[in-house]
Formats: sequence, C-alpha cells, structure tokens
Amino acid sequence: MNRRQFFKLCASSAATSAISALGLMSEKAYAAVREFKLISAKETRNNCCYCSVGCGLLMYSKGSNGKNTEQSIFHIEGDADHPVNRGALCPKGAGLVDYVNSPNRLKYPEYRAPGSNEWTRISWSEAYKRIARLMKDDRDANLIEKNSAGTTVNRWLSTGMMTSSAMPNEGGYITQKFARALGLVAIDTIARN
Amino acid sequence: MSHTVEIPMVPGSESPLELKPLKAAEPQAVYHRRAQRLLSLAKDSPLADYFELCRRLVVIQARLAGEADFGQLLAWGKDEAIPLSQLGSEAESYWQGLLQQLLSELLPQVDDSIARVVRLLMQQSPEQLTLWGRALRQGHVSEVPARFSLFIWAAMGVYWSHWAPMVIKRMDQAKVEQQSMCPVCGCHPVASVIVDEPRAGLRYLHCSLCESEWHYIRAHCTSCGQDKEMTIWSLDDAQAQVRIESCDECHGYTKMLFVEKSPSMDVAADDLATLMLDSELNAKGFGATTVNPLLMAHETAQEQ
Repeated sequence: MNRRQFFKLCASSAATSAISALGLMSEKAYAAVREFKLISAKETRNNCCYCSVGCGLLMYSKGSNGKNTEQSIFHIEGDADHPVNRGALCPKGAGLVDYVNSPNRLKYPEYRAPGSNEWTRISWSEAYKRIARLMKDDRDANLIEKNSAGTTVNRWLSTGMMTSSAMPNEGGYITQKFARALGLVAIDTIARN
Repeated sequence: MSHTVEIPMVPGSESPLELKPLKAAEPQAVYHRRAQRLLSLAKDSPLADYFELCRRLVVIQARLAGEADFGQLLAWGKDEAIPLSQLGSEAESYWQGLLQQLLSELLPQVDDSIARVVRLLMQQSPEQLTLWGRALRQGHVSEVPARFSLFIWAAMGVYWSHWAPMVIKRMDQAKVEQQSMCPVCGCHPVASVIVDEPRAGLRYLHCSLCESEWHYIRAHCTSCGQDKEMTIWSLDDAQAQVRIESCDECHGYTKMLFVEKSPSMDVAADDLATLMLDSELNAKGFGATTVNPLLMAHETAQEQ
C-alpha cells in the first residue's frame, strides 16, 4: 500500500479543510482572541550527572542557536521513556535546574588560606601547580613503600580521591590507572553524597 | 486463605509502570468525551457552528459504536505488521452501511446547505465511496471532495475503531516498533498525547482512524525520527497544556496535548480549537504531519 510516509499538510490547513468546504469557515478563525506571546524552547535529552544511577532527563532551553543569543535552561524533568528512572527524579534531581542556574556555581578555582574566611580567585595554572606541589609533598612524606614483611606495597594512605559518578567505562579505567599509579587506596565517587 | 488453584504458577505480575506499546480505545467512551469537549470548546470558538456540526456527528458516532451491526471481521492480516490495513470488500460495504445510517440520522439536524451535501453523498455509488475511502486512508486527502471527507472519515472511524481493540488483544505487543503511522490500521496520528498512565510523561500518538494509541519516544520527530533539533512552541506559558513539537530537519510538526494536566481534553477537538497555534507555525514554514478527523485538511503535493 502506498501510504504517505512524508506527509505534510498545506499551510493554512483550515482553508483546504471540511470547514471551508461546508461553508462554515469564519474570518475570525485565526484572529487572536487575546494578546499572546509565542514561546519557543529547544528540547534536549540528557542524563543526570549527580550520581551513578544516571537518570534520564528532558531539558528545555531558551534561545536559538544564533550567534548572539545565549542558551539557558529553564526547565528540567524526568524522562518517562528512560528505562532506569521511568520519569521519576530524586530530590537532588528535581532541583537540577536550580543547580544549573545557581549564582553560587563554581566557575573558576578559588583559594582560601588556612584561618582565613576570604576566598580569592586564582588562575588555573596556579591551582594546578599548588595541587601538584601539595600532593607531591604529602606523598613524599607519607608513602609506605614496604610492609612489615618487606614486600613492596607503595601505599599512599594520607590522601584520598573523590571522582565523578557518571563516567563511562573508559573514564573509570583512566581514573583507576591515575589513582592507583600514585598509590592511592581511598577512592570514591560522588554517588554517595 | 486462597485455594491452591487460585495461586498463579508464575509469582508476581509485571510492574504497573511497564511501558505498554499499544493502548486500545473504548470507542463509545472516546466519542462521548469528544462530543462533550466540542460542546464546551464551542462557547469560545469563532467556529462555533462548525463545532456544533462536529458534535452532532460525533454523538451519532457514539450511538453507532454501541448499537450498529459490524458483522464479522474476515480478511484481517493476523500475522501482518499492520493487521487492519487491508480488509477487503466486506469491510468496504460495512462502513458504507454505517455511512448511510450516519448521514440519514444527521440529515434532519443540519441546515439546508449542508443537507444538500449530505443528500449528494448519500447518492454516491459504492464503487465511488470505496475509491474515496481508500484514498483518505492512504493519506491522499486532496483526492476526495473536501465537503465529503469529514463524513466518509467519520463512518470509517466507527468501523475501524470497533475492530481495533479486538485486534490489539491478539497482536504481539513485543513486535510493535516505534513508528510514525498507526501499528493497527496504518493511518496518521491526530496528535501526541502526554499521559499519566502507565507512567507520567509518556507520549502516545493517537490514531486518526481507529482511535488506538501507540507509544512514541519523547523528543524525537514523530515524522522523520531524528532527535537532534527539536523545538517546543506554546502560547504565553512554556508549560501550557497544548504545545507544538517541531523538527528543524523535516520542518514538520506535531501537536502535543498534555492530557495529564487537563484530563478533559480530546485530541481531535482540542487540535481543532488551537488552529491559531498552527497558523503561527505555518507562518514560520512548518507544516503539520498529522490528520485531524474533524478537519481533513489537504496535504501538500507528494514529496519525492
């Protein structure tokens, strides 16, 4: 049977419809009964990144893909089609849109000196240098190279690592490689917070 | 305590949240709700006369759905993907019988100009009606005189919606795929409905002919299937109960009715009541990819 898979109605569809053919078309059919504003939103499917369950989300954002318009997410809901959460979200997930748009969101590295209550902005290279320096110093001071039986163990127990919960297999593999190579034992994901 | 024979062999039942690919309609209930909805929407509509005509038509559909003789369903495709797409000449004469009943009941309820159309349609030969019916079911709406298509479709709808629930019971739901046309009869959807059962937020497409609903994943184009660039349109409120989902790739669109927010809505009636939203989208170069049984608008020329 030759059905129309690519089927589209004429613009001003009512003009070609039974309404006008039966003489019941009104000039006011399209007239605005009130003032209105046409709103458009981009619809995107994604996953919640805040725990390892990985719930499905539908996100709605304002702003087109134009150069001068910034897209902003204004609504997030659970994805009913998703096999894991079936449309439901936990309280953390239900508040996602406020996380995304939070004015307190961390966008650059900041430093608070011991005893101070002031955060100061620092550059990424400063931050990386400082993290590397402190890690190296701590590791040099506390690395356990051999156990009591004299076997090489290379354990670094004085530092732990918190990693992402919503990683693919490859991300998890690289995280393990990095952390274990340093001798880290305490590794956990943010799935538990 | 229950008797041992009452305890099922396989413990537990499937989750009530389990996705159902197909939902059978209760045609009489659908028509009753549609008639009520048309009545309440007519009050504020610039097309009040047309709404009233549709309401009378739908009331007759409801009566026929409950009382008419539908014979037996002989030539349906038990093992085919779309079991109610080719039904043979038997079905043609049954729906044409329904058409005559429908028209003769409507005749005394309409004014002279529409009565003339009704009488003219009653005089058409079965061969002609068969051709028109087939053209409409294949989506060639423009091949049928627009003044007849509303009534022809209404009669066919009563016939197909009567058999669809029985056929759905015998279909293997596991084999139903995501598709833009009705898996039962092969016709176009009226619109998307966002339901609250089996779980809130699922989208079903509502068939324009047999009133069955089939699941279709959200945020995908219901016509071409892509999911990269989908846009939602609404008037005033981004969370409005009627929205349009348009596709930047094929420039088609489908209306979405959030029935979970407003359970009294009916796909056909509420689509008809929101033509203004259509005209906004048409002005932006988008075209509807749906068929409304109460509108029967023409399709654009066949795209290659």
